[in-house]
Amino acid sequence: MKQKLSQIYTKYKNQILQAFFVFLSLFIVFRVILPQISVISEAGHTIEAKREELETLTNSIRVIENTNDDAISQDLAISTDALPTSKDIVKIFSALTSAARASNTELREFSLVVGRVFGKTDLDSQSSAIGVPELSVVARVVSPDASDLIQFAQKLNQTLPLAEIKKIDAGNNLGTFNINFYYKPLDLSLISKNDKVLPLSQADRNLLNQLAGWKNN
Amino acid sequence: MKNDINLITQREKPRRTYDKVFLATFFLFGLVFLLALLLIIYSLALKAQAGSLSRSVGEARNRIASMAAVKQKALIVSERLSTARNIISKRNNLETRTSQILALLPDNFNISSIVGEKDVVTVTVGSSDLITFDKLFEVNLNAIARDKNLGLKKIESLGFTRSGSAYELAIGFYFSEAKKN
Repeated sequence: MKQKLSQIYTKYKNQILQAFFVFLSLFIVFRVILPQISVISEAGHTIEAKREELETLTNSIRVIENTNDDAISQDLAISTDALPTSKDIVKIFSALTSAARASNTELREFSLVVGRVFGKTDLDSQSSAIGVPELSVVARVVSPDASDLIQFAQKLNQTLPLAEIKKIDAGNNLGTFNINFYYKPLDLSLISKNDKVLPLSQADRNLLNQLAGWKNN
Repeated sequence: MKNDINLITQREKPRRTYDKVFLATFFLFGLVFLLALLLIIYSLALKAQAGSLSRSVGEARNRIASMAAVKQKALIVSERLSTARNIISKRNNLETRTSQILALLPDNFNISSIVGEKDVVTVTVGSSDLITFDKLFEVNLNAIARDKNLGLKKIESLGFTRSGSAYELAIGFYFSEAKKN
């Protein structure tokens, strides 16, 4: 056996070192180079993602630093008047009475179905087709003039909280209106996780001005 | 001259071949080794860069956290405005449609009832003068039907009745789609 090995060594001794280099090269290719290429590709993606994240955060910091606390508080008040965080019956009553006053009608009565008072899946249970929770209200308004009754609906559409008239039934000086008032609960955990703050666009500013105008109606 | 005379010794020829192959394999190994070394260095540099970026991201997050109150207000405003825009654009504006139809009806009619729903507004008008109904059919309803802004699909006469000395006509205005803002 020893003699046989010795014969093989003598026969191939010149090729052993070359074979060793080839083997080592292959080893390095498969164990180092290919895995490193994968690591580099992954690191490249990570760096790209981190850069984007940093850019977003830097922009957010710039936006927050340039935001006036008083102005944003005022904007917040307007936007939460437009979309209250809960089923705010006082705001609904206020909207109905101000629409009645502006249209020379008299709010005779209104009824609403408060529905679920507590539930973890509030958004899913009472969401409208738009995907925003709503509170259905039936209001009865009196006026001798039918056009005033329609005017009531128009005024209501331009007051806060945001509402949508689903049905109008007017006749004999009495108007019955099925109205959906929208609200939107706050998800503070989602908001606190979000660090992407964008500046308000011109369209947002215009909408805020429109809502502010409706608030004063 | 003889071409088959070989002056190189028998041992020297394989030696040269061996040297060439040895050099080639050594060169290959060196190349592979160098490439691996470069890749490792590059990979370490990338990891260091990623680490540095992660630290910067962490610092930026901490900075935002220190202004959490303003951030929260800004996010709530953006979210509410986006939803408000969506609601306003998708409202059916039933009252606007009804108002437009009433505005196009002649003043000499009494409006007995108005029923407005998603895609139909039914108006019952009354008058003691039958001729005014002719005018309504021939002129006013034609004009309403031609008004493309209303988005009407059809107008139907739902019923004509006489109560006492007056006549009443119920007209259904059917809309092809919900009017959006």
